[in-house]
Amino acid sequence: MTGKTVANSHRAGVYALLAEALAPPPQGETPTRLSSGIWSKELEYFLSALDSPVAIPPVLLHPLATAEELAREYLRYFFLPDGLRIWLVESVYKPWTLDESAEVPFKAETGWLGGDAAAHMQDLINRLGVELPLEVRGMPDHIAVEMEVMSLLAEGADPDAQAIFLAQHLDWLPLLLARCDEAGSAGLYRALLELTEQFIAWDRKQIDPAKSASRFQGFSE
Amino acid sequence: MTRKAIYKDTSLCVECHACRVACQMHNSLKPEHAYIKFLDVEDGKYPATTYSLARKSCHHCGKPACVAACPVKAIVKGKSELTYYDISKCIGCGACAAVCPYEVPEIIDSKAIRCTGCPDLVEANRSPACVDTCITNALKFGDRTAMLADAEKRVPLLKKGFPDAALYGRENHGGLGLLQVLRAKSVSFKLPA
Amino acid sequence: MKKISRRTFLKGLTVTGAAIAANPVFDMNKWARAQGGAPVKLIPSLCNGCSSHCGMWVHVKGDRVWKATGHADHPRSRGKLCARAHGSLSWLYDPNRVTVPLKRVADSFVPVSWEEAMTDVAARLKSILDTAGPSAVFYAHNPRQTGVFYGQRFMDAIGAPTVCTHNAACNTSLTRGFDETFGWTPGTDMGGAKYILCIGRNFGEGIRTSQATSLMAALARGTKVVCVDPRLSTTAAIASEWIPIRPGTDLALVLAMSNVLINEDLYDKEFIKNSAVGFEEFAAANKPFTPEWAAPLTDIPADTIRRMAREMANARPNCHIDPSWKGAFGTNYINSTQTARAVGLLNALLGNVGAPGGLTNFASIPFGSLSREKHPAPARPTIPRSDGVGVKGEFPLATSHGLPHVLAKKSMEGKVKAGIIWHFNPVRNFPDRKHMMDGYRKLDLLVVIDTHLRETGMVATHILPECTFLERGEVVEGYPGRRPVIATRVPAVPKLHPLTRSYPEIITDLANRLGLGRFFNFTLDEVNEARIAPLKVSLATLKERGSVILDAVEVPPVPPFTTASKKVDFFSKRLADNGFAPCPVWEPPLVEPDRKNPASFRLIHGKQGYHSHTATISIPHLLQISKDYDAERLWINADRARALGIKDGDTVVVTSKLASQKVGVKVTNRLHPEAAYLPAGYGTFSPFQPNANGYGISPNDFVPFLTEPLVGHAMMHEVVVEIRKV
Repeated sequence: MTGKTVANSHRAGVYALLAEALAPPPQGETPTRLSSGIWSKELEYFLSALDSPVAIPPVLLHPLATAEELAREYLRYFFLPDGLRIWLVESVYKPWTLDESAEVPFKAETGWLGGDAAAHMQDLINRLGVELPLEVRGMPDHIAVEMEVMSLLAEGADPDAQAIFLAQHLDWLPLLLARCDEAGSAGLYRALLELTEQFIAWDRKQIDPAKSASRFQGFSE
Repeated sequence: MTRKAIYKDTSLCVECHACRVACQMHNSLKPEHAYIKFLDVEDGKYPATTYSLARKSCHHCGKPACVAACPVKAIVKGKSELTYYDISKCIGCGACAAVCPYEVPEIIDSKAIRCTGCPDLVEANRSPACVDTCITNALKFGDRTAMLADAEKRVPLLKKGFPDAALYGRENHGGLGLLQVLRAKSVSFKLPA
Repeated sequence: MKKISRRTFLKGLTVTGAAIAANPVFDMNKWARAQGGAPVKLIPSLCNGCSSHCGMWVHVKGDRVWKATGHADHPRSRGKLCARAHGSLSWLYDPNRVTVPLKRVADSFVPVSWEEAMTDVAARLKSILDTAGPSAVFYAHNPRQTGVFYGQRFMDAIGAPTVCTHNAACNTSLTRGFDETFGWTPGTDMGGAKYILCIGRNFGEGIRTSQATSLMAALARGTKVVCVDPRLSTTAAIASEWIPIRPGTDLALVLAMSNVLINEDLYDKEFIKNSAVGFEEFAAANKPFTPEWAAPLTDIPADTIRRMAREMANARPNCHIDPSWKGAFGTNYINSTQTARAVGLLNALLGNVGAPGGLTNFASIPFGSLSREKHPAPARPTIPRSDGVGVKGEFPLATSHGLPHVLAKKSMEGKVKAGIIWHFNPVRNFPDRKHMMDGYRKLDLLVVIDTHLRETGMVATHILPECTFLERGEVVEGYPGRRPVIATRVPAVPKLHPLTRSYPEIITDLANRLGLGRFFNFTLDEVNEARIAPLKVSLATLKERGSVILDAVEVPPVPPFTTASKKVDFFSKRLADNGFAPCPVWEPPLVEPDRKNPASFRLIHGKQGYHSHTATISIPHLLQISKDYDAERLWINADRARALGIKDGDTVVVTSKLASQKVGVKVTNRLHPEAAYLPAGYGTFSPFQPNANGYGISPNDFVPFLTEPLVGHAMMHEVVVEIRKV
């Protein structure tokens, strides 16, 4: 095994752990893994093996929350909020479509599901013959799905493909963080999303910064 | 192509805003960016009150000052003689707004907000989006001569109830491509005589 | 550290990263080049922007909704769409939708599986049925065919008679008034009319698209259109004449116009002789109601009343008084039912029933039904309803549309324990927020089926997520006429959220869990096939075309009356037997503003053409219209405002016995001095509709819980408020 592939599998590990933590709703072993610190230990292992400067904030290293509290927090910020809802879905942060032929009220608007990002992810997922879990099936551009796909790409695709996916689909984390600010707080999840954003930014530089120009250009020739 | 015009009979308009929304759909506009707005005049003391409307949108002047003023040719005179507008070319300089006799263009988010003339539809011999959806048929579209004839037939009927009723746009600025039958004097909408 | 096994969130995702990257559409720009040229399909549907359900074509590209256009063959759209139709497409992709079943736990909701939700709902419903009986259960909806068929059948199956609609906050006086007069509620022939009198009807702001088109076509032709309204509405503004009236006195006007027709011998004697009973009693009772008597009550000069009556007599029979919706004789005043009756009778005096330009009533469409052998139908329950409808001592003459506001009281009294509500928001759209919330919250089971979590959902025990109108089929609807039309929805796109379900799916599941599946052993397609079988249209054709115009039917010169007498009842024995005036006579409104108090007003409300009650307010393009024109403001007459030192744009405090709230003011000469007018689509308080939450105020917060004695409606203009500058 070359150093490169080891590193790639560590990067894949980080993305997979982020997918796990951000998947809706926290279920199975995940809340316990998060609250017991097992999840953060695994993350720490990968990050230090990668020699990444991205640090795990203390709130994630030594989670104070119980599994139940974590599940409740997730619902509170991302599902049934007291105040502004924070969406973990790419379409919500981008114009619904860049296709000029659409004539719907939300065409050029942000704030809607089912945009170009979702349509592309869905098409890709259909062609791969995969069925999404029910919880995200209306949101194929959910952050957890994108993290999972990125994890697979990190493990087995060439760097160009990884750069393209990061540029075209994983460019919206700053907007998500801005939404967290607007909503006031996202508790422990705020730290998790910040870490996600930092890791993507670092990882993008590791791959090939030049390829970040391959972002989505729209539908015209 | 012969000269076209949108004809609005304001005496049939109920301000339902279907035209505004259909226009926003066709031209991919944000909620705050409306190419079609309304001017209204409430006149007389209760109970002798009247309420009249005019459309505030591009008047499609026969001699459009904005076309000459636009430094990037975002506004051009089309084959239909409506003024066509390509928002993607607009640099938001405000030259069109400065010369428009009707104070129509607003500069929002560095873009002029003004009617496009729906060139894609008009050039395909179809009605602009606003006309197509109008639920009261207060909006019509066609050859300008035919629209003028329709409008002129309507005026005498309206004058019975509204002595100030008149056609607006026959001669102004080279003749307008938005012809309106107004119930109140044009000056009350601050439309230049 | 031991090797960490990668946990996959996407179960079954066994593809490699290399395979993903090798996919021809992996690069989104390549995908877009392929996708950009994809064909646009047209799928027929029915708009859900209001309950008119206009026919529309949904343009679909690659399973996404792309555009909407009006359906030319549908009688309510005729190729046109209003602003709400375009806006309503937003509901599908709204991230604030309810996407999974929710269950109340203490003060909040938790997402649960359908299995858990339905097991729980079925168990609680069964327990309530076993202990309190079927009278403790109600169902409420906005009545369109799917709900009428599935909802009614479900209620029949559990033996519960209390089925309600929104009508007690809409038009039950109109229905009862006309039913007691003709046996049915008429339509009108605007195309043939020389004179149209709208009393409270506002076609331009209470929009049914084709009616607005017809009215403006009539105006353009030169038809005289007269609007009687306390407010110069956008319809009154373009009408031939606006007759401002003191709110709540429309009955006095109609009685006085009838008085002129009788006294001046201008009515249609032939029609009265052949087709009416009780005219003598009516004429005798009507004697005192002269124009001079009505003038000070209505604020309409006696000469004007006389002139209107004479003008209509000159135009008869090609003229009509519009049967209206809510405004003057729907559900707003204590005298609304008698007003509706008086309007029916004034039409009858003009002899316009069946005449060109008069009232119409077309035979209902002869739909078929499911085979009784294969699909046994449950019997209609015979126990009394729980909302007092048809119950002696309560509301014996109320309509079958029921009384959702009375159910809140019955719940507080412990007589009603469970409710199922579909796409209907009584907590926000009936008066008295506290009354409605307290009553509905006290239910042991309140199942709300909807696409969004609205105010009624806030007090529910269970929210069941529904797919939007763009994602579902529907029971075939019918529109009687000279050329009757049938129409339906076809799912335009697959469900965006796989855990949402259509109403028929939910009801069928619930019936199965209650052991009543034998009454629901069919598919929606089978219901529709049986329904249209007699009409010689195949379901395939209907699904392809969406709206189908049927062959012309023969229309009798005068539609048959279906009252007890089979004639127009000028004297109603049924009303007399129940202690109400058998012939309409003057009844004053329940409350009056204090004329000595310069701050005292009657609070009235109405619709705006770009909103449907509170349902559309969170659609950004529609909400922006309100914002651009400050359209949520309270209207006050200019003279009254001046006396109170209130200027246009000021903020005022509106206070009734129930509430005190701030709102901006529009100072205008377009309003009767006694009225303060509030557009009724604002004041959303569900936190799950964040765009609109807190924008504007709702009249329902000021109006107390009331029941009109005859049909039990909510009397929504019977409220006095004080208005003071902040």
